[in-house]
Amino acid sequence: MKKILVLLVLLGAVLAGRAQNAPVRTIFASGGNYGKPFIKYVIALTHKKNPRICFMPTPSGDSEVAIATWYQNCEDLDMQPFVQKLYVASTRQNQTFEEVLLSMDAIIVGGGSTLNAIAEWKTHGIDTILRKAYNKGIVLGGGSAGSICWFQGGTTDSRPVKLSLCAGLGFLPFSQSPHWLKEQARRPLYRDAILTGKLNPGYACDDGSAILFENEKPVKIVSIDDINIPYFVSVKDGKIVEEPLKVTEIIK
Amino acid sequence: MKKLLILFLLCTSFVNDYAQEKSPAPVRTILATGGNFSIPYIKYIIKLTGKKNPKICFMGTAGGDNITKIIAWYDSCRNLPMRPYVQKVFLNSSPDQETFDQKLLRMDAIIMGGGNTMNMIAIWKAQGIDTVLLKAYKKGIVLAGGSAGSICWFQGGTTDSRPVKLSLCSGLGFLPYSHSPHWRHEQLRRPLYRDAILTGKLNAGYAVEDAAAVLFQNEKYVKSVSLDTLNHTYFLSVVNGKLSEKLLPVTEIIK
Repeated sequence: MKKILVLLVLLGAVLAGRAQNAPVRTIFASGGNYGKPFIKYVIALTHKKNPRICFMPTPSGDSEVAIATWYQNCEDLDMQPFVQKLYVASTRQNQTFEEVLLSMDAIIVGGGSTLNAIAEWKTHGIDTILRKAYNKGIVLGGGSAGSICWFQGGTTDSRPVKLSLCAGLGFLPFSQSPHWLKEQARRPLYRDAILTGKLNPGYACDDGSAILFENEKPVKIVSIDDINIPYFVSVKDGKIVEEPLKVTEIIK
Repeated sequence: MKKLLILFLLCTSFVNDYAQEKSPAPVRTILATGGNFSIPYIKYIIKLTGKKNPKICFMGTAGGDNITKIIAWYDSCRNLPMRPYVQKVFLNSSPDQETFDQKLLRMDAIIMGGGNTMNMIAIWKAQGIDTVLLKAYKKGIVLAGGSAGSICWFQGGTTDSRPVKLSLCSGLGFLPYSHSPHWRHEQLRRPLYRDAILTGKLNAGYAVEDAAAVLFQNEKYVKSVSLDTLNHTYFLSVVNGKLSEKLLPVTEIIK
């Protein structure tokens, strides 16, 4: 009798495993702007009705302007907008970062200082929570600092005086350079960093373009128009190569 | 002729060395308040610098460079015999900026605003500002601040930087003590701070009420000051296995 029970439990577990597909690890990273068209795209990616989407303004130091813009962008969209600040106080927030973030269907990170954001996340253990969220299939997104953070590293204006390189959380094994078209000074720095191996090969994105990654693989290139496109930058035969990527969907 | 020149150079360098030996080593100075850093404290800092029209820089890192706090700082400095500066950490690199090193090390005093101690320390370390501040401290640039802006100078203290409940956090450790701000105004800090010292999680240290402050020179407690007679400072330590909470008398009321 006991053996039959064990067998039944095992069979049940196998069936349940099959029925429940493993979550797809999803990152939707843009070159800059992460306005309404990108938020709508994230809503679709969650495959949920009225999904819970949380904005993290960490790279801007929880800028009130960035938070207000987020809420305004979410008006009229089929979603529930949330915000998780990093400048919290124990007296003002009674849920842990983990409780808030893991209850979301998507998390979108704002622009600003990548270096500061990564340092703050690490000190609070949020890097680990975001990794859990990613593995759980919670859609991750963002532009500028909000996209570099998901990659191995990239070019940043987080430090005084001049552009430099910074590390991301490394969920994607590539590098990233945002604002490709708009901020030309990033170009020589990024190309040199890849050529000399300081950064992995990676994706340079114009402001209005974005790349969808599923399980660490690029699966779709989208843009708000046909001017903004991403490039894959890598080393071939000792030389740097910038390969334009074909936009497969214009988003509105 | 060449020999004379060398002799002359040697002479001048010897005189220089002698002069340097004679000039007193800079006094390492920290003023830690228990709460808001108000105008009387800015005036007190001006005095501590011993300079006419000193350059004083505010850092709002603990508030995420909150613009309201930055404006409040500039407003507070109006009509004071000083030149106010601000150093932000959320910035976009541009060639017309100075490095953190260049700007902070030409100040006479640096005052830290309140907010989230953990975020502030993490950002400073990522940007190398912890090292710059240590250089500033050794150079005799007066360091000051209240709340997060005071905890940061100590080994560690009590903080509301995390969600849900009060906890402990580390500071930069320029002073080998711990610190708890808001001693009277936020009563919840008391049991946490006492327990942390008793169990050795924090060093012995200074609990300061909102309007009071403690002055340190060369890592030694010099005196307690306050805006009134109601706000006090205390030294908490373990004596014979028990927690001792010693009232430190305020020796100067500042206006």
